[in-house]
Amino acid sequence: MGLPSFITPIMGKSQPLLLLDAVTTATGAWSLRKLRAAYSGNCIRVRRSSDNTEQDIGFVGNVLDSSSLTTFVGANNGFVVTWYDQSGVGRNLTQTTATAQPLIVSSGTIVTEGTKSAVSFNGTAQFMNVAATLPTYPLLTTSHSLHLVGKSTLTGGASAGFINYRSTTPVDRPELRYGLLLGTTTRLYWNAGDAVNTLSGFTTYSLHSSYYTPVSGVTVNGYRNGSSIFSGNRADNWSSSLTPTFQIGFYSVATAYRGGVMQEMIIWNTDKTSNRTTIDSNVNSYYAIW
Amino acid sequence: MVGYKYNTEQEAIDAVALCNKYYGIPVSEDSVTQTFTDYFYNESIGYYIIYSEELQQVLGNPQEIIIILNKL
Repeated sequence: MGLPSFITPIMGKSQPLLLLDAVTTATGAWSLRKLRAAYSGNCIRVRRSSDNTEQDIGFVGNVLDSSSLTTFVGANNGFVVTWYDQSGVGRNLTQTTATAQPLIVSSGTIVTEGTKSAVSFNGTAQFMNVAATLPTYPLLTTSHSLHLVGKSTLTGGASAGFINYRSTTPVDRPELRYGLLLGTTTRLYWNAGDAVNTLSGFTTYSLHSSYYTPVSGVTVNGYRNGSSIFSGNRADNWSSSLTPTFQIGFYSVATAYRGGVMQEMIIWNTDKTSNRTTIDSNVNSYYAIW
Repeated sequence: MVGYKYNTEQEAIDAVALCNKYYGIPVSEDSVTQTFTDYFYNESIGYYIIYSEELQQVLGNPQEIIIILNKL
């Protein structure tokens, strides 16, 4: 039996390929592990509560340098000021307001989900924006793939997803909201005015992913932990001239928040369905979610 | 939600400035953090700042704020 496709033999040992070396051309990639060998930047920039100074934190052994992080923050709280984009495109997640910055260290202890470090959004005030504009409507008028390792919580305004991507107008607007609270469950909300498609279970720590191709039939497929749990269509009636916002933890259209934890999010500007099992295997071999 | 309500935008701006002065924000020229807190506007209540624990020693006791959301 051969090696899985995300494993490659290097110098006699089997080394896992970093995810974006195995599945290339991401258009935005944020993670607390290193995703691409050629990426030489830092992982996150952190503000410590003791004196509000900031420091960049990099990687050690392809994961967040937790030693540097806890040394810098000490027994205090540490907040994420910038979550660097590893795609090479420079779409950093940022938050310039202190009280809105998500938490990475709580009283000297790094926040975790499962067995790995995580960034926590409280659902009442904390959120991050994509600093640079995403390319012309990448998620909604072209093929795309998106995955989130984490979960949303029930804390927040009913209309807010954990990930929110949409324009304010028109009413029949394109949109994508991961982890929107509908009734008592959190779901994927896709294109209000046309169809509400539901990928439920966002409060469970998982790999949540969706793949979309705007061809005839206009289909989006949703998965959780590698299993298909959703497939749906949408009407093809939107404009590409809008300027949507992309926010984590906040839905600016309604000034509403959604709590959650996030360890990794990647957007590809193409349909990566053919790479899905490679992505799933890579994610689960590191996070051990399912 | 819990927070601080203001009658005018200038009052909200002044409150934010007070917090920045108290906490010394921004700390340095290369700081990404530019303000300690920020204010919002909502048609139903006007200008407001969302509560966080650190604001209490600068802005005093917060109050309950009810926001009416009219859009999904």
